[in-house]
Amino acid sequence: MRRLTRLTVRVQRALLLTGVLLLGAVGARAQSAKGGKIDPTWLRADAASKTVEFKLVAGLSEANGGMNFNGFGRGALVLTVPQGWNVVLHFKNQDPNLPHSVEVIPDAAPMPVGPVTPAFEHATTGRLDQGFSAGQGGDVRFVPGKAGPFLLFCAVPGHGAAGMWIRLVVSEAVDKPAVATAAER
Amino acid sequence: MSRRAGMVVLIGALITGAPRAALADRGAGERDRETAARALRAYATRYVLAAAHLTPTYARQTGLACSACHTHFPELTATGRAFKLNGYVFRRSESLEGKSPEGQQSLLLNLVAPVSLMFQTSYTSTKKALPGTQNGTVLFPDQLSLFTGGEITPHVGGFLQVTFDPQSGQIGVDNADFRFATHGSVLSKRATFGLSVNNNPTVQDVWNSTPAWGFPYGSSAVAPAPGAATLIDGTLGQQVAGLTAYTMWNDRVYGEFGAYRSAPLGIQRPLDSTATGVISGAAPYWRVAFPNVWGQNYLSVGTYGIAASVYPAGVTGPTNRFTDVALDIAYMHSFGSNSFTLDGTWIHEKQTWTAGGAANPTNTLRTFRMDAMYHIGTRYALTLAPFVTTGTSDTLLYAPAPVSGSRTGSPKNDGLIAEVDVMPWQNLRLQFQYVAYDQFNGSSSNYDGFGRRASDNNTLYILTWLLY
Repeated sequence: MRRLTRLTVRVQRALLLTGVLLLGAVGARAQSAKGGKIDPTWLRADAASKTVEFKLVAGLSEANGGMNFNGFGRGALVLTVPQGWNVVLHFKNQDPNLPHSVEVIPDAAPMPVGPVTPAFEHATTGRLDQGFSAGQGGDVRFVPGKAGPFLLFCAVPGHGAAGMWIRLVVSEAVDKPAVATAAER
Repeated sequence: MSRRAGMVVLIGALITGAPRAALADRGAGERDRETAARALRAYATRYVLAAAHLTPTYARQTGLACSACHTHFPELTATGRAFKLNGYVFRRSESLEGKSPEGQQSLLLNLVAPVSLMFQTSYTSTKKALPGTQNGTVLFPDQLSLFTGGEITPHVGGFLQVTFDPQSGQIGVDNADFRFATHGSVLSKRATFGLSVNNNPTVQDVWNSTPAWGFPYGSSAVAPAPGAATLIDGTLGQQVAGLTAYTMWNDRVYGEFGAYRSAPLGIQRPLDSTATGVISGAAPYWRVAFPNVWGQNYLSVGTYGIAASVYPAGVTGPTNRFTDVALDIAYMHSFGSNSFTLDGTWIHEKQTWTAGGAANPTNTLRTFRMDAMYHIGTRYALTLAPFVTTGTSDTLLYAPAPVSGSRTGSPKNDGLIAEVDVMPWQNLRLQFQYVAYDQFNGSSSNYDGFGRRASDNNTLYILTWLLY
């Protein structure tokens, strides 16, 4: 009887372990389906100088044929910054196949085909049409002076429309930047 | 090709004064044969220039709209150039993947059939009808092509155009470019390395300033066209097979070297004494370009060329030597959703007629073309394109003949093309083109020795162009 009890406990543990592993696998699969996962090192903030730095990598993964920022597209990644902070985007293209660029644009339909006037002064990498090829990039520095929803958008013609954009939320209500995932649009 | 063969009689009549006559100027029979072959090449040239370097096949593979890779097709954007340079392999559509027992990928097939169709119909009217013909020619279809290509393996892709001849009911291979591409690092900078196997020098080029994909993108197949053309200016299209190796370093330097060997279609193989215009050995080809980007500007300047020794007839004996050296420029400036593009090339050809066929032992031929195009969104484009050809007068190469000949023996022609393109949809184009000649085959008036004026060849060409 005692032996049976031990066996039951072992089976229960095994089942529990299997369940955890299965749930983990499902979770990993779900995360993968979203396009990637957040790396905490992407975001750095300095409250004293009110500066937020964000590592923005085009073509980080093969998601969407490489047409993604940090592995995310279609708004599945949300960068939230306090209004009036200094924003520095360390942009680099890792896509081996296509050139990419980035600019901040208002979140409004329809999605532009190519470059438009940026939402904030200097909120663009430049070379918007031609883009930067693999290994190239540059820093984008701007101050978001108004609150609201915006997009970090690849302005090389056709790329943004193909889903190469993530969200930028400028908020009066927050006092520190954050990055989170969201549902794709 | 069969379509071309079907057009030989007509085109042959139009180009009897073309310079390549000397390639087989040995007796009436050979001359006739060469005239037909030359007509074939001339038609091929025109056909290639008129054909499109685009295909919804790629749009289906990449999931990108046509406008991602083209300003107005076939002119390429940065994405289009990158797509081609990297071997046509970028893909967002679903694929069928196969793996070996060891887990190594062994198959990657696009689930969307890599096929698309081009249909063109046109209306051509010259200022004065060709002698004995009805003016106002309707071609339905003007061209009908099947495109296939795209990713074959993760590093190999291609472009293949197969053309159907509605008049003969036969099909033939048109432009083809298959390539391998990979990446590496040189001097700590990214470099793309590739190999291209193709059938038309410059068809593998990623700029629209070289002949194969240069302006005009659509032109009349029935209007008179100047007879003189350099070797690299389409004359070898579909008559050769070439292997070239290329590299793009740091997006700043492009270099390509290779060689072409005769591989004409529709004639007996192996090539023998009945062949004409066969290249002796292989013809070296080179291409160097220096692209640069600043602000909203893109500029590429470069050079390309080919050198070929050609048997006028057969595959042995003396040859004539053609050395083409060319410069080109491609510029683009963006104005938000609008853009301005400028493409131009200057080709200098030195001809050495060791095997005979020309009145002079050596000649030169120079061609300059430039097109300035303003794109209004993706829907409209306005183009002005001047063109000039000059060269040594040669009474044998450019002999008098109705419409296509030269009274003075000069290859000179110059004029202007004005064009309006309307694209209500990205895969539907309406083209309104007017070609105005100032000089044609050496003169403005009585240029052919039969009373025809250059301006009589001014051409209105209206083209409807469908791709799906």
